[in-house]
Amino acid sequence: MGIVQRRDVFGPLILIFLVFFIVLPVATVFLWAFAEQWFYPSVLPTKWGFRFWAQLVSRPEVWQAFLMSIKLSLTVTALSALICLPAAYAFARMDFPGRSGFMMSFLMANAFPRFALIVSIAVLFLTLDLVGTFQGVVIIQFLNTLLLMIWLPTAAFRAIPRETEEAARDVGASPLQVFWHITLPQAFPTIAAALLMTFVWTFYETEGAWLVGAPRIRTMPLLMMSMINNQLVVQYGAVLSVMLWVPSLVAIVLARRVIGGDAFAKGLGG
Amino acid sequence: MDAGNNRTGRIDFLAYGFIAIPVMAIVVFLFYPAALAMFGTLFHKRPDGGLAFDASSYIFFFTDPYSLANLMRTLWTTFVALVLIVAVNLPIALYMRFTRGWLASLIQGLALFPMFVPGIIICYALIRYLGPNGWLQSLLNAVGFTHYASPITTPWGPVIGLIWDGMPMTLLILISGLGTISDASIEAARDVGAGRLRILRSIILPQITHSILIVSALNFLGFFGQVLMPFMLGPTNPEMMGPFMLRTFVSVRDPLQAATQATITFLICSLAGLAYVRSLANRKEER
Amino acid sequence: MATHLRMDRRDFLRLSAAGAAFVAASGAQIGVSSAAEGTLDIFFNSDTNIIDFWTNVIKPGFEAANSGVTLNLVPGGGGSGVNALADRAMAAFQAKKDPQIDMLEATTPFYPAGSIEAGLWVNFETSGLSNQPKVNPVTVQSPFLLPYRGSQVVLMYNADQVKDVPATFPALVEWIKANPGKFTYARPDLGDSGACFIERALQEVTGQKPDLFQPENYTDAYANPMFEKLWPLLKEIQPALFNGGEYTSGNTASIQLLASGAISMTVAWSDMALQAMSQGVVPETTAVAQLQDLAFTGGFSGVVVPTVARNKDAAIKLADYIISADVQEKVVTDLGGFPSIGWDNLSKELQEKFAKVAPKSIPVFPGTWEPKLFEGWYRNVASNIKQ
Repeated sequence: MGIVQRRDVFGPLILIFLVFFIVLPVATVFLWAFAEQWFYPSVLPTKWGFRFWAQLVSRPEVWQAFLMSIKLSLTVTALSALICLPAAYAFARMDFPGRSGFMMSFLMANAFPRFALIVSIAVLFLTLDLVGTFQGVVIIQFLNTLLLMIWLPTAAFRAIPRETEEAARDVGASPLQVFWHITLPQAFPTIAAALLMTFVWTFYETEGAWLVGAPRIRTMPLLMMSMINNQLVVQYGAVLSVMLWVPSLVAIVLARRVIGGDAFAKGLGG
Repeated sequence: MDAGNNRTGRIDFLAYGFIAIPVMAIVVFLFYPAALAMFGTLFHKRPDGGLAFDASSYIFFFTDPYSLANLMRTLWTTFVALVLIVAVNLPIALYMRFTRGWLASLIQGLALFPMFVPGIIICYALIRYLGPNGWLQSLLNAVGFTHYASPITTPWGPVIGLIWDGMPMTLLILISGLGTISDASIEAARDVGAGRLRILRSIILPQITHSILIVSALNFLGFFGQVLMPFMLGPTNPEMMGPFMLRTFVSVRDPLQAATQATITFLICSLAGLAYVRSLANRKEER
Repeated sequence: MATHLRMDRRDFLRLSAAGAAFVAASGAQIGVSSAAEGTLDIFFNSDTNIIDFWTNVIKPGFEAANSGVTLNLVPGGGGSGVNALADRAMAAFQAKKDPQIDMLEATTPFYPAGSIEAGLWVNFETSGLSNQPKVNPVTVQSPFLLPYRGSQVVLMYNADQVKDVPATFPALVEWIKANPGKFTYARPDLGDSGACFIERALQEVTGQKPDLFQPENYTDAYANPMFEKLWPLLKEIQPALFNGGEYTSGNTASIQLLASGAISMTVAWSDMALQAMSQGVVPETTAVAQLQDLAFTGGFSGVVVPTVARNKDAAIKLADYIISADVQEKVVTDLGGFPSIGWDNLSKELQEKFAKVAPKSIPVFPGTWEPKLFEGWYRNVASNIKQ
């Protein structure tokens, strides 16, 4: 059925490219996590060891921070879905003056360099007494998810033929039923991709979490940053990354079942 | 942006309720402070307390060869990275759309993996891997190739970093876009004797133009204002706008000029957004 | 949000005390308690080994003398992290709120721009610190920054490749030209070790007279003729630098480039260099050396306190404590740093012991000159555009 099915040269070519472009840099981090010393021109670390692993795993705040990050990412993703999906549906299906303008505004909001806004943003959070609170970090991270969580689902809703919805409405389904049983399932692959990206990006977000949360709210990547930035010893960062890759790999395998395969057929575009 | 899916033509006021929260959030937290910052670049306080219009910071920027060289380098990096990221991801997306099996799964897993690598980590990894006396050079030496020239601290350093970072999102959006093409239409084309290139050009590309446009608009934003990659992987000079404005703000301690650079960056990124909306509107009309 | 990697000089004044183990840092309480009266939130721009020093020396000493006060020591996550906190302090100042920041370590009061003029930072000269008169005036960059430990910049090199290490600045320039591609320094705004190299070069072209550069004597008219002499020298060595004229993105990046063997020599903070050597980050043949004609300029690391801090009074007390003779002696013995108060305030024993090993003070270049110097460097040295 595929156009590259019979003589599959593209697959191996792409694989070779990915090995050099993705696998080897990632492997560099991986090897560093198990290296105590590594000097050029040695192809493998000059001294192996688990010293850095033992030191990290024994720190209780690593696990606290991990749980905090998971909690934050889940909350932000859920909140973002709750607020953005109806908005995306409105952009895709409803007619109102200023629609394109509002849609554009989400892109524009991300176009202004943040360094010039940080003080103003911090004033707002301080005035609302949100600094150092869980809610405060949720709100600032939520702001970062808007563009993606509105644009991608809007495109997905728009790609669904209106006829299927109207047919369901004709047989007496309520608008909510139509949305829940007809629209949402068809748009789901794209929405799942948006949710996955939102979750992962929120998990790794540091600037907002630090600006609003420090020192009361401590997340895993913040811990990582304090061990990576300006550090001579790169191993701590490497170990933390590798620790995070295990759950990530599980996520990506699960994602393949949702976004992969035939489900693609109901995606973006148009 | 659209010819409207709503056929009744009446205004749906409920829509404003649906979009109220996100719109208010960006207006309060982003647009209001951004507007203040932009206003401040054009209207300066006079000693007597009034406001005076003054565009001198813009005149300085656009007559300063140093600032202009930085702007040009930023545009170059953005466009090269945009072209390459589409050129790299489109074949991968096509492959994943039209192939089943373990190899496709493996490729998907690998290509999406950068999502789980934060920017700072990938910078370190790329330096260790591609950098001078890095792992790649060690590996090449081991097989007898000794003429390796590192792209780190050349203009290609940030380009490589940006492609790495932008790959998962680009790929996910392109794959979703390819989903709308039915296998039947491709089979039909093949039955009438169309070659692969022809199928690509006349059936696939027109269908995913929207996805390519979205990807370009989103990536343009991310690339143009990027700070980390040019800092860590790029040359000292010319600077990209991201590091340039931060240096102006932090080291030169010139907030006015930094805000001017930020406003110019914002306007250029807005143009990219506008171009996206226009091209989308044109496409709708053609249909 | 935009990240930036601005790295202050003060970031990098780290200890040389042998290979400070990471484990020891786990003693640092990293912000689990809630904001409360009597808990001082102190953010660190320095490495974990400085936090160790605070955990083991300053925290117990200060808490014992001030019952009911607890120090909450928080790693700041690099230059951009501490700048974000300074932004928050500024915002709190405008909103008249508690920033939940009582002290920032190893940063400057110059960020965000205009914060000094606005009155964001505590002026240590007028806040009645009992130890303030002892502070060595040459270490003071600004009344709003209280210096408490100093460090010097040295040549760091691989002795395998550099048999004859240059002892004077002209010899260094000769060495650079004779060994193309084997030396480089950090961009001055990103890594102060690079700034110190440029400042030493400026002192060289103006006749080795550090007194020419005073905190309050910067004017364009006075400085520009000197800068005009500096640019040709730096431009001249540029083609002989790493990769045909490239600079590193920071102090750490310089050392890592040296560790990879891509270059044979660079400039580095002495404490970072010694730490890298003791932790095995660089090859065993790595060594350090100081110029003998006129040492590289060094720098002092200090603390700032926001005027809106909830525990401002306790924070000022703490500031007074860290420049007390007791703590300053520990800076010398435990950190291997330089005291910010005059040596004559320290114990006789210590003075005698260190008189032979350490210079009385380290040369400092005034921070007020740096914005123009660095901007000029970008435009006249790094760039090839004719101005």
